[in-house]
Amino acid sequence: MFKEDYKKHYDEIHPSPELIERTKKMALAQYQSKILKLNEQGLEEKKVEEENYETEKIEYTTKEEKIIFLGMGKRKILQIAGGLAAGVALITVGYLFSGTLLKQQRDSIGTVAENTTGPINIDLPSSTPFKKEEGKNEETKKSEEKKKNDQQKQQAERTTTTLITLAKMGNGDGVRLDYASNNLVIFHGNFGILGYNLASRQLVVQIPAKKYQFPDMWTMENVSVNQEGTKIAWYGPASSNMEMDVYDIAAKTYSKIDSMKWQEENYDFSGIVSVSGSNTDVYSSKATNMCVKLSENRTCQLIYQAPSLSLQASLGIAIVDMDAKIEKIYDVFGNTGRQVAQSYGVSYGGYHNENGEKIFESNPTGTENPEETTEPNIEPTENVPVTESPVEVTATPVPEPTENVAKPEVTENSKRLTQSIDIVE
Amino acid sequence: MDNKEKTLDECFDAAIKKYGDMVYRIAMNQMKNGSDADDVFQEVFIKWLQHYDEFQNNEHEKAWLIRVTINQCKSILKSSWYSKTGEMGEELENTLSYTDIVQEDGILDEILNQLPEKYRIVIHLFYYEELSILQISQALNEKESTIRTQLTRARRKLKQLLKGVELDV
Repeated sequence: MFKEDYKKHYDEIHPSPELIERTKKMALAQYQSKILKLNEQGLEEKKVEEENYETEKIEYTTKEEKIIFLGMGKRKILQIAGGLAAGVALITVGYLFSGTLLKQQRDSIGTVAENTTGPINIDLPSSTPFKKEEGKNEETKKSEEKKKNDQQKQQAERTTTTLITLAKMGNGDGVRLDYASNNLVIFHGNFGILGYNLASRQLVVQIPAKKYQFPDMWTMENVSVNQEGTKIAWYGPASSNMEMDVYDIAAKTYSKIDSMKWQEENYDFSGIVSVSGSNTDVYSSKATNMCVKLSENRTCQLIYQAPSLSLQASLGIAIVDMDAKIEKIYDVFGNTGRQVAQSYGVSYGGYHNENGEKIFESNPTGTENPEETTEPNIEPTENVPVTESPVEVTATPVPEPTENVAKPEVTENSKRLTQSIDIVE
Repeated sequence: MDNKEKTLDECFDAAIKKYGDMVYRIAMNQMKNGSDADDVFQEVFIKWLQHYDEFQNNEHEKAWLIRVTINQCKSILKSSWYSKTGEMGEELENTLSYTDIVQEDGILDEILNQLPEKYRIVIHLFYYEELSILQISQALNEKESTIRTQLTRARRKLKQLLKGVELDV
């Protein structure tokens, strides 16, 4: 049972005693330094408060002792007998002093009355509001500075990534393979859903994410393709109605369908297998880790040809033929990726592994292989310098799939790929 | 150590004992590797100590911890999103160690790794922590209907990946 296996799996996961000890020390140290700061601040404030209070206390007590209540009786008589004119004024005054008047009536009229209640405590408002976030100690300052630098660095890297987004088209973690056959490969990422025709070497399915307002890339994980590879379905923005959008690839039409109905009518493509340690791992396929077995010794996998920013290529589809020991790589974004990369001074070395090594021997039939026979000339560049005001790359609008498929632009790379294509029907 | 510090020490130990496993497991569920999970664990409990006297009750404390853990995971995932692009090789090495250790369980990890983080956490909170939909929605600050939808989709995806293994509802 899944639940039992799941529980068993996680029951074995615990934080190590060293981790707990380390965490406790760090947490208590930070807490104590915070308290210390608070106390230091508090002592200073208290000192100021006390000084002010002493001055006020002395003044008030002196006043109380020397107040003379002579004439209280006269005042009272005046209030009773007072006329209307004086009454209002006196009532006002009386209101203010009413507490004292009533109290002092008990005392003898015309004598000095001492205030026996003692000085009244005056609560001076605290001058400094309590600060939750205290001044930081050296360690925290350093770590915050480091964090800031890291963030700036990431921002710089992110900016660089933005500049060559078209070429990179997301990163391995975001792209998922949904379907593959000898003719068609469908995958999705934060850019949307794409389908690549291996024969025509064209993107024949283009469903941009923005168009359908996917709220975030996670929603894209709900893409499913039917077994025949003729329809693609995905969930729209999170909702409770369980409706799916459906794209018919042949008809090039969109529709909606209830998710249960989709399940009943369309058996989901089940050919995806997860891989690790395959020969194409050098292409950082670890992140995609999915492949489709096209036949006994032929697989299809998504790859990113360059694991670092300095060696730039774009998303590729790798068809590996273990018998013939040939790996054919289809550069999904083709010239666009290459041009954009080159326009930003990023080396576009075509397909190669991170060490510039051949993966397979050359084709024994002698048909011209892409320059795999010689080590590709890799010129690792330094990090792409980021200008202060980076140029924003606006993605060229993705053309809608049309009936007439334009002929692919013939370039060196495409020539080589065309000649080496060997698609088993 | 004065009395106040001793009490704090005891409070901290009690919290670790009560919630340490939960926090660490959520971190592992999201980060998929031990070193990142360690970082998350540390950050969460450092923050806990700054707020330990503000919780209304145990449920509040638990929900707070779950949310902070997930937020911390998201921060790390976001920050490494682009740095991974340039350092895939190193990342591979780091993740391999965890994968190697867990690979004894192999299939379950591979299956779970194919689920997005959002679904993994819902599955984990539902099946492992045995929280109700309402509790999960409070912990994740989402609507109940959203959680229900995510759970349904996650189960469907799992069913597809597990191919025939029944899910215990």
